[in-house]
Amino acid sequence: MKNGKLVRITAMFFVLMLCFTILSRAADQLSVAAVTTERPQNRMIEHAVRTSGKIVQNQELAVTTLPDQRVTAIYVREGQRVAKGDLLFEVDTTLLEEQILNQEQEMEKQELMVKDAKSQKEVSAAQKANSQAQAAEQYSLSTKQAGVQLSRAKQQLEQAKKKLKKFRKSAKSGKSGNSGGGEGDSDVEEALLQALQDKTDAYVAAQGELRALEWEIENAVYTAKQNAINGTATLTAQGRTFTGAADTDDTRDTESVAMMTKVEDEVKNTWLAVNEEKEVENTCLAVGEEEDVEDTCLTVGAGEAEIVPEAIDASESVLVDETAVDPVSAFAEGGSGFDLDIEIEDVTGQLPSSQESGNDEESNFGAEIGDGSDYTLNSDMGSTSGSAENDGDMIIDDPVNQTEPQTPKAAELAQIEQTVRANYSQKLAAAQKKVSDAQAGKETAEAALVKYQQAQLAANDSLNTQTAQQLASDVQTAQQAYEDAALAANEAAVVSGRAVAIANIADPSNSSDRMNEISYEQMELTLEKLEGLKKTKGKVCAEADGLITKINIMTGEKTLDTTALLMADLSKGYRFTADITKEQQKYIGTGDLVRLTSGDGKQKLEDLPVESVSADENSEEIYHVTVQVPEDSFEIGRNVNLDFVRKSETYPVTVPLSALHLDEKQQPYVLVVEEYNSIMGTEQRARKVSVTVLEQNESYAALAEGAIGSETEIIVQSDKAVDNGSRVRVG
Amino acid sequence: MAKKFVREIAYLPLILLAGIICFPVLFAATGVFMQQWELEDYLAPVLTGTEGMASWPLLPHAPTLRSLVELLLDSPQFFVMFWNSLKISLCILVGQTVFGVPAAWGLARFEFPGKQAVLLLYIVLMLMPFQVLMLPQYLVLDRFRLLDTHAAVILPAVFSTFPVFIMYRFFCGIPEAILEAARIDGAGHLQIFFRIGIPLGAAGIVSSGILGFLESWNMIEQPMTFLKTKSLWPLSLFLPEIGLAEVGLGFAAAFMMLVPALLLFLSGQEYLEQGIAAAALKE
Amino acid sequence: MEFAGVLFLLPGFAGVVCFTLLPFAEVVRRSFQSAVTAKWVGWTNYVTVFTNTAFRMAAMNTLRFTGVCIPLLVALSLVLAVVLQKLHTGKNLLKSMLLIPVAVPAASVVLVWKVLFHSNGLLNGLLLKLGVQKIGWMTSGAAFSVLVVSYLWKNLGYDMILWLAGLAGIPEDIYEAARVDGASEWKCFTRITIPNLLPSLYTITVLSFLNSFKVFREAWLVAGDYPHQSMYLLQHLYNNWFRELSFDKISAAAVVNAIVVLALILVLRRSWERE
Repeated sequence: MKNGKLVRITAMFFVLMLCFTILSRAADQLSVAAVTTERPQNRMIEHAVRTSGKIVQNQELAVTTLPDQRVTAIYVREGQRVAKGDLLFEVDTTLLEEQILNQEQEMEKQELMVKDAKSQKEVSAAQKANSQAQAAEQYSLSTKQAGVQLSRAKQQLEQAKKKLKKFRKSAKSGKSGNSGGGEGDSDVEEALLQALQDKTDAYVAAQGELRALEWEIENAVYTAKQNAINGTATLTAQGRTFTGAADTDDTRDTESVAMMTKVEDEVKNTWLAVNEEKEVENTCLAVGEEEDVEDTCLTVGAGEAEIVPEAIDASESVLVDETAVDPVSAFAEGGSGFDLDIEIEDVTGQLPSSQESGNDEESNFGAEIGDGSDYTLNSDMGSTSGSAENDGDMIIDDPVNQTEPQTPKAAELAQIEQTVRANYSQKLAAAQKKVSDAQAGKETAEAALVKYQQAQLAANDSLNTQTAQQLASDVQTAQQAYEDAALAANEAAVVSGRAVAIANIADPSNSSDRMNEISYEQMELTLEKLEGLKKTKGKVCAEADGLITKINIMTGEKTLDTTALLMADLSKGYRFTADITKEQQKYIGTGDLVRLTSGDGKQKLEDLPVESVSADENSEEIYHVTVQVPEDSFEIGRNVNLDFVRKSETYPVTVPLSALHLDEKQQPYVLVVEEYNSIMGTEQRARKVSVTVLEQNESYAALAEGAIGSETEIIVQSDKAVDNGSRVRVG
Repeated sequence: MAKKFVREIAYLPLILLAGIICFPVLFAATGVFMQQWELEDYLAPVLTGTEGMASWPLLPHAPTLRSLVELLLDSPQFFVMFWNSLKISLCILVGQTVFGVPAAWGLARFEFPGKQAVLLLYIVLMLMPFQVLMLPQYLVLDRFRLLDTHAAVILPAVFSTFPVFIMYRFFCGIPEAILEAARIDGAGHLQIFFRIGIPLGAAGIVSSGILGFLESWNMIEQPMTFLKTKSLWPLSLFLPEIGLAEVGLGFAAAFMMLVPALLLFLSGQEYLEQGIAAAALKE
Repeated sequence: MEFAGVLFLLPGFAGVVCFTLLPFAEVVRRSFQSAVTAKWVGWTNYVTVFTNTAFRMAAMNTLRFTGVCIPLLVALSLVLAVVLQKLHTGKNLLKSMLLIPVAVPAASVVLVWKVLFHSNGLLNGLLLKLGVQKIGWMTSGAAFSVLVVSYLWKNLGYDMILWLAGLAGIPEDIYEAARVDGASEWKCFTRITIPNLLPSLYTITVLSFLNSFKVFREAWLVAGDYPHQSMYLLQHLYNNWFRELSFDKISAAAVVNAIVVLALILVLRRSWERE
């Protein structure tokens, strides 16, 4: 029947539904994670610090002996305990005695050497004084001679003039009234003569100046070259800045230059003095007075103003030459408003010292100029030192090349010379012009005088004229002779001054005698030591109770310069030392009471305070912990384990570490089980609860209260990956 | 001849109407054999509001049982609901039979004062929409602490008056002569009820049972009002829960809900018609 | 005799009293009390309910719905029953097909309703193909027609069966006699069928009325708690009031509703008994 079939189908349908119900439930259960849960506990978090280390001595003693001794016997071995005074090892006394003898002989030799050196020194000092004296003598002699000749020429000139005057007077008186302006005529002539005289003086002075300048230039060029050779070497080798290079310049070099400059100044002083004194007698006097060369420079009162610029020129040239690369020279060359003459007044006061101490020259100079002209040379030097190479490329081609010392090539030297000469060219030209001007002036004056005299002669009678002419020419001759003498005097002064300067160059410093003395003293000391060892018959004993930890010597071998033996000083106690990790270091600190157990576990010491916990110098991850160990507890070198448990405060909410997870933002969370009503009835699922971890060790984590109550079931284990919202079954 | 032609012509609109009326069922049935992507393809304008119009093929493009399998094997929730629905429906069915049949018999076959009033009351109560009775029932269920249990849904439905009305009509249709004969034979009231009333009114009882089952299988308002725990929900509440995102699952579940009702309908159609027709019979 | 009848009735009736009558009495009492304080407030709740625009709208909708649907359904199903009765073949199949909606749970076809009546749905797609403007089925006054359609769909077969039962009760010989007298089919229908079916009309109307309340399920499932106002029925309102725990209003409204139903039944019965 149809109905019956349908009823059967209906029944079938419900049976099928029942089957599917069961199947779907079974399938569903497969996807549910079985978890185990725990409630948060009230507990402490313990941090166990466990490490193993060694027992070491607190203090180590080094036993040393003299080097180069043959060890005859060693009485101890490593690890042996020794008492104070115990014999450690012995050295060969025969060899020792031989060494002592050797030493004594060496010392005798040394003594003799010292004596020889002393006498040598005395002799050379005497020689030098002699040559100095000679030079000075020569100098004074030549200047004196020149002065005498000069004065003689002057006298002759005066005489010639007097004669001419006399003659004129007589001529005048002979025809007095003849001409009303007779008196005036002679006045005119006198004035003309005077003018001529002045012009001549000026000419001579200019000539002298020129000569001095030339000499100075030569001097500067020579020094510059010399410095270029030395200075480059120093500079390039050391790669120093300007100041440094100047400082490292050979002192002697600087000194000699200063010396020469000084001498030069003196010569000039003399020479100027000669010029200054219009009266020939005074000149002689002045020349005579200035025999004491040393003082002149400072005492020539009026001349000082003129000297100073020259001195500055000289010191400047020294400065320029010494450094050669120095921006100052660039300044001078570029003429960038650095006008030295303007600064003269400011520098004046500073000069003596700058002359005396060539080393300080630059700094002082710079400072002074800075004060005077608002131009801080030093700082500028500093800033331009980089670009200084542009100007100094005559010496330093390239900073890279500075690593190897270079000797300037001939071309470079020529260039230096050129530069120095260029520096002076203006002055030289000025001096030359002055000379030529002075000559021109002199010639004009002469011409005027001659003209006048001729006019006079024309006015007088022929006889008189002849006599007068004769007289006048006499005067002129005398005049010329005087000029020549003056020039000769100049030259003599310069030449002999140079000789004095050369003679005054100081000997190279010689400290060999002192060094000899020192080595003698050292030998004495060694001898003492050797004798000390001999006294103990070559035996070396322990200075304190201890344990031999290391032996560096060998029987039969010679001792070296190093420590012979190392021993632990037992009287100072022992300590335990071990490495711990950075992590462990957080939980152990000074004063914590730890337990030490020997490696085999037989010996145990409780409650020993930690002496120190310190970071390793090399590694951030390693810390050293030390514990003082009572005497005779552990042997030195023993492996010992350290145990310490840091207990935290009691936390109300601690969970096993397996319950703690990190989300993708590295935030810790736990999964708690919560029940919820679903269509399937009451089911359990995992819920993510973000937590704050207060502290944790290898097995537990303490969480901040609030997020989790004490009744919360926390998932600690699960057979499947569980996430927020995953259904779980607590089993 | 003309009459015959008219009759044949009349088939056309009838068949058309029948087709239209059956369309939703066919629609739901087609949906079961489509996969999610195919459904989304056709129904995108409805599901996601994209441009264009939804379309529906007569046959699935790629017929598959995937949705059905997914529902049957991977959705234990569905079965919870399914059995909830069945439990509620069967309990109501049994209760209605146990309480309704004697009441209908008593009303149909006995005369007592107030019978007309009771009948009127029953009819009035039968016609009351659930929403009117919702509050009274809620109050009493609350009093008996039956809220959020299946009993809250079952008990008021057990004492529903509609089946009584249907069966009353059936029992009225039993000829008085048969009962009189039985009475003469010395049969007691219970004997007559069980021996004569129930067998003769079986069609009515079955039809009211089918109607009752369909009604309770389809019940929405009562469980929605009285059941808060999801695990107690019947299938009729689960279906609207399925979002449009799982439209494939929705179709499958709707189909699975339709199947028992249709099976019952088909197997009891004869009784159902009788039961419905009985109501129309004159008293 | 009488006692026995009461005994048969009693268990069921006790349940009805217990689960419906007594609580309803309580509701009647509550309809005169305020919701929270349970103070006696007289007719205030009724006044509130009657002045409530939502109640008025819902009541109007419900009345309109019943006024439109029940005659429509009754007429349509009668025509259908008469036509079907004349058929010889395929009668049972068509009957089954038309009756299927009775068995189809509302929840099963919710999806279908949604797809059909969505503004981008199948129905509008069909309309567009026919060149007609789209209709917002759920968002305009057309929602009411959706309500009507789903009601007709669900109950057409049911009412048709009722009518068929009624038709079956008319003896065939009356028709034979009429036909012999030369009466036309139409005359037969109006003169014989209609008068004979009138007793059934009462029951059919009552059952249609009963089923008209059940359309709420579809409406609620498709459109939710607050559908378009043209389909906002009393059930929606009660449901919402219940959710809002406005027990005072719902009590008064329930009492009013019960009285209206009772009155309607009495009127129908009177008119039926007069026949």
